[in-house]
Amino acid sequence: MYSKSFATKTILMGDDLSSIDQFKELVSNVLKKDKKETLKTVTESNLCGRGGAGFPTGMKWNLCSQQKVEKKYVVCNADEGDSGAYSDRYLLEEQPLKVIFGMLVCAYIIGSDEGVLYIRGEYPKSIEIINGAINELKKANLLGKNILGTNFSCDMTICIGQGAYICGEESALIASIEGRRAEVDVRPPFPVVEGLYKKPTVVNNVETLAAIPCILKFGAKTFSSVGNAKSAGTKLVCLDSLFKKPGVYEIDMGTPMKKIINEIGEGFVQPVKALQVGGPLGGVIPIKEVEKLNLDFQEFTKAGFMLGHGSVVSIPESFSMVKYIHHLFKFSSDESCGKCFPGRLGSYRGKEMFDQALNKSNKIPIKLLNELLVTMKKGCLCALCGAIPVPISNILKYFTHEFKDDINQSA
Amino acid sequence: MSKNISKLSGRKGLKDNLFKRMVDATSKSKNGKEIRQLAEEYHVGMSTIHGAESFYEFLRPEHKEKKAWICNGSACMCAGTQGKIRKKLSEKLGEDNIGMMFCLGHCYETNAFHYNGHNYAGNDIDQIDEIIKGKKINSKKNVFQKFCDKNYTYGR
Repeated sequence: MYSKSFATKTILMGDDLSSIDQFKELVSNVLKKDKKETLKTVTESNLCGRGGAGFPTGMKWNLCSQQKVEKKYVVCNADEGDSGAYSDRYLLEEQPLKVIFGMLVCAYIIGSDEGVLYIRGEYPKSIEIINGAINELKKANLLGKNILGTNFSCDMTICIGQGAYICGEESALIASIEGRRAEVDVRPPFPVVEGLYKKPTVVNNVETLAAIPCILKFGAKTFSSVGNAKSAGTKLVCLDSLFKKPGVYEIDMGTPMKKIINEIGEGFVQPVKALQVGGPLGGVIPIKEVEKLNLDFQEFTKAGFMLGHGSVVSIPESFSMVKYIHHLFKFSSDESCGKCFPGRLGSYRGKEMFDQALNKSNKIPIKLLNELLVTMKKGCLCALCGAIPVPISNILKYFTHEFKDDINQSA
Repeated sequence: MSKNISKLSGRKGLKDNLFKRMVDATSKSKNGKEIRQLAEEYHVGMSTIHGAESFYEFLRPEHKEKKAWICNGSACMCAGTQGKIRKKLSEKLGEDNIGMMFCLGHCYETNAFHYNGHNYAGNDIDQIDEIIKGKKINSKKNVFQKFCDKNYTYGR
């Protein structure tokens, strides 16, 4: 098995919402309650967005519910493009009712009658299962018009991503659904005010939505009592194949990374020098530094890294860091939406520098590289190209010894 | 400009979603006729539709020409499994017919590739002949602990 809960209280991986009957009971309870009470529970749970941005979920729903506009939308961001991450895939395929329930409650709170799951095309099985679940729920009058005989109606549909990583960014995702070029939009206005089709919209990650059933069933404290106020609850962490026990695990926030690596993952099958946590835009952390951290969003940020979506990619001792930086620049260059100059031009120039380093035609101009990283960090419109300097800077800082023969100090 | 297009697209909304229609039209269209009709139907310029469809990897002709796609995510790369997968797929399908996809979400077992609408990983490559013939393979089942009371796969 590649999935297991190590949490004190299982929120995401349990069997508490695995049947239509359980779904019906939960929905019925929510529809009987005052919306404000349900919103208060979500807010008090301290649930924050699990996609990486970490915005408080209750606050987001509240802001959207306050918009005096008749038409609103709920969007599930299931465009999990980070390499090393498969927690959303796990939830979509093994806990589809939790995800859909989270969307339904959100729709009810904010006053929406329509939701859409934007699922990446690289996950065909997830698309199939969610489609099937939606159809079953419609048959049971748990989606569609007048749910359980009430005035609340909510339709759900699926949009299938077509291979663009940037569609994991909320404004690009909205542009994609609308049929516009999937470029990042300047904010404000934020989607809760002007989102899909310029209507108030909540965009939430799969894992965020999947936490809602347990929070409502067992109370806000179930979630808020774990971790701390800003990094509360449980988190799905994905360990890759270089761990002795690879898999997706539900873990309490605040758990020491040393425990995750050595006890849950049971160490590595070969010597590993660093972990990239949080996808291709996440920090590259030497093993000795990782072991000092706890599973905590703020702790990771303070240390100069990023927890993000919780994926863990292991970089073996034998893997060249020059090659790894090339991989990161190539990734951002290939996936850049092209809207901002630092992203469009900078990512390609970075890739070019490392093409030349790899084929030994030119050394890395370190001054120019550092200027490029600062420009991208400060000037890019979004995290795709704006955050790529984080792992690259980490590698340059902690693995200098690997570059000494490849660097031109005067350029 | 984008407010105008968002609102025009919003007239039809999610039920007759422009993005889905564009994806369908791109797969059918040989001479741009369907794209032109779509632009007229939604009252947007051809450049709006072309600008959007040209953005996506899966809608590019060079992507659609391929028969199989190897995962080129960081985990598969670090595990060093892609070379073997590429070699085997090239032998069976031809080197020019192999493309790449960024991360199929099988990082726990790597060796990931996509063929004919399905993802494969782990030791599945050893049954590539059966996969190409369209036969069901003896793949590792239940890799994740199951809780759902039924199989939600569509149409079953």
